[in-house]
Amino acid sequence: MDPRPGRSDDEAERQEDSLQRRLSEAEATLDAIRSGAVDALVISSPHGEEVIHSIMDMGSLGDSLFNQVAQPIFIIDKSYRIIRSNKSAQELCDGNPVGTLFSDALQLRPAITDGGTQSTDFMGDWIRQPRHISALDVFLDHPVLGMRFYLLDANPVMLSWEGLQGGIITLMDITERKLAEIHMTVKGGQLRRQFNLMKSISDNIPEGLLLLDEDQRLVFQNPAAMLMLGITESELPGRDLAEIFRVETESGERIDISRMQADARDKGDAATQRGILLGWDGRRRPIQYSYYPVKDFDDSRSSILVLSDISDRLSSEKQLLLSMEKQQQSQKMEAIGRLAGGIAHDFNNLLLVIMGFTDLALMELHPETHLHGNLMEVKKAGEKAASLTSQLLAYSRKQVLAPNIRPVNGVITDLQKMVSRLLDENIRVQIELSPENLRAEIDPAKLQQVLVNLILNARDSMPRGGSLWIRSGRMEVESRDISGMVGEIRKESGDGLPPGSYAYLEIEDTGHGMDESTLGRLFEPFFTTKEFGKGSGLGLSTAYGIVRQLGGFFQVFSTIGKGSTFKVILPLADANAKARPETPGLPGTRPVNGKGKRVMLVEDEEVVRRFLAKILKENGYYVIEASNGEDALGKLPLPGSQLDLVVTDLIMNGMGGVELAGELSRLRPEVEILFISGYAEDQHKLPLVAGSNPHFAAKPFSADEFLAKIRDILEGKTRPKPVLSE
Amino acid sequence: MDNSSTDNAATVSRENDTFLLKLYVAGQTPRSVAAIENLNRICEVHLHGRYKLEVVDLARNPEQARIDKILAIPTLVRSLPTPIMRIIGDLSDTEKVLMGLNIRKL
Repeated sequence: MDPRPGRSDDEAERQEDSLQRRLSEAEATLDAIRSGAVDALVISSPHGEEVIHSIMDMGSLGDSLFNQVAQPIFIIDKSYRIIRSNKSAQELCDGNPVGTLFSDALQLRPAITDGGTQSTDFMGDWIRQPRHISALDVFLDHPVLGMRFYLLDANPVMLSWEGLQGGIITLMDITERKLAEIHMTVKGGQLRRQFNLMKSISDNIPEGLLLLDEDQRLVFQNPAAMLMLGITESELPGRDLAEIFRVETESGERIDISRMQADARDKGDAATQRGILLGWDGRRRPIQYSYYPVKDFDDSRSSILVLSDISDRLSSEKQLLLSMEKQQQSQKMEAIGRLAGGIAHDFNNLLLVIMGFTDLALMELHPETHLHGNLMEVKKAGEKAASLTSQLLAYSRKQVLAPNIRPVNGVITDLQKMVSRLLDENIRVQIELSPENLRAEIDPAKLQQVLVNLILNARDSMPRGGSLWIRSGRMEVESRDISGMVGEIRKESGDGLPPGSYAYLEIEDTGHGMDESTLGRLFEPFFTTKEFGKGSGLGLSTAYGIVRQLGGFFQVFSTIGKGSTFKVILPLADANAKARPETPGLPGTRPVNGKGKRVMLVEDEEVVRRFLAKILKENGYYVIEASNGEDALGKLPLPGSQLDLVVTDLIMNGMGGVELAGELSRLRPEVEILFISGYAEDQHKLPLVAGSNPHFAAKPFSADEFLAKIRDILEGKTRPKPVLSE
Repeated sequence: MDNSSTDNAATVSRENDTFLLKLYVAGQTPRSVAAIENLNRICEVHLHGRYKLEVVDLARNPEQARIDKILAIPTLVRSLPTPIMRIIGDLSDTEKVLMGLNIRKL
């Protein structure tokens, strides 16, 4: 124990100071050695004398100093052989490398190779030069440690009194830093790839991208944006957004986008508007623009403006609207057609009864009586009503046509006489017939109805007289032709008249002509430009229905104040096609006698059934009545017993006509069947009896017509009349 | 402001201090020569007229190393003003030398 603690403390402090000083001096010495600034070391010999040693030849002090250093240090002689190394150098070499050549002990390679020289002798003649090598980037593929990176310092040691001695090499491990650098390089590569990807996206998308900084200055723009802005890169600098991005409404009002931007920023959400972009190049482009506020990584508020050219979109939207309008129109027409057809069907059933019972009553009355006269008026009114329903059915294309291949000119020549009676004297008529004998599949009576209708319209358009041409001719269509196709026709014909050979019938007038809106609704049923009460509005729609049912088209050309031309276009019949032999229509009134023939009458509409049954009975037929298919089968006379004919409605509550016919063909195949229906198109639903069409009669028909039809069937005179529609 | 009154006399040399410097070298090695040249230049610039420089060649008199406890060569020792300071190396880094000798840069 020290009795004088004060002095002892001082002493200790002094010793510590001295030690500190020695240590820092040792550190400074090492530092100097490493940097090649030291020639030699002064080492005390065992005899207490100071000896100057070159640093390659130091004693225990040198060793202890060396071993404190974490960095590998090698001391080599002038032939590059290792003569001394410290502890970390020995660890690196996995043993004491003394005696081996430095280049053999460590396979160091320069990390940066110029021109790819991978020589291990990269230090060259540095001792003999003598050359100081500082912070050389090298690496080592170590068998245990893996890839290590070092900074190499190499200093030749030359003492004047001893001459060339060799050198000292120190290595500083920078593997961690290097790996981080490599990582950064790799990451840099990824960033570059990402950047390239982003660039190729922004260069190629059709949307314009504008990146704006906090002060609405343009930071980035892609090529599409410049195209839309109508500006080149050289014109951009120094211009702010408001200058290059000017939008206005369709009506030409300037749009201030700052409100939209503020809104978007407040909500933190995108905002989108449409407008006309006034390009720097003076062009106007309809665009949609979206504004996206963006928060950068440094929290600054930049934003993106995305521009889309919507010219195409607008025009396709317009087209969509247009086609929707067309579709609506077509749906409307279809609905009217269905309605008309439906009403006509029910109406026909009623007319059948009215006219039928009237016929029956007339038969019982003497023609001279007052009641007979009255009933004749009822019958006339009924016939008018039937003609009206037949027009409606024509429009809805459900009327019965009897088309056959006939000369087109015939329609006009048959009409010629009537024309002069239809027109006033102040209208000059010129008929120009095709010199060619053009033939088409037509129903002459119906087609005449079409022409009469057109002629009457022409007449009405020329109250003060004018000229009217009636023409026929041939036309060849090479590619789809939509000229003159108004309203519904254009829609129905798809893209217009399909290519092919056609015959046409044309009515041209010098009347007042029609405007666009009239042309658009020309063929609508109940559409009329005539005064109330003067036209039914069914004329042209009926004509249209007939022509379409014949597979034809209308072309209409009109100029206000100049006149109109209506062309009925019909597909030309094959020159080799043969006309079917003329078949008699419904025969005229002729006395009939059932002579005890047995007829089964199947009809669910009681009034109709009662009426038909009455007619048949009064004419000598034996009648079995049934209200539908099932009822009929139940009442069917056994095979062997007499049954001459089954008259059946097509559509009934319960089993219908077609199904019944199927059963009958099994049970009583020899029995003839007559189908009756209010729809002409129902005929298509009829079962085909081998080689021929089934018997069919469309309601309404008169009692005489009905009886004649039955008589013909039973006498085997008639095969079913060919009926073509659509 | 009077610098001398605020500076620490123990660590910062005064304007009128005379520097006693000893440079230990061993023969005419390139580093010894460089060290002598560097030191002369620094002293002329920064300590003009107030230094004494002695160059000691330990190759001739190794025992001289004992006086200043020299470890490596070349070493510069500042004997005065106290405390004693040492700089090892060829003195090529002027900044480092000025800092090591505690000389205010002029």
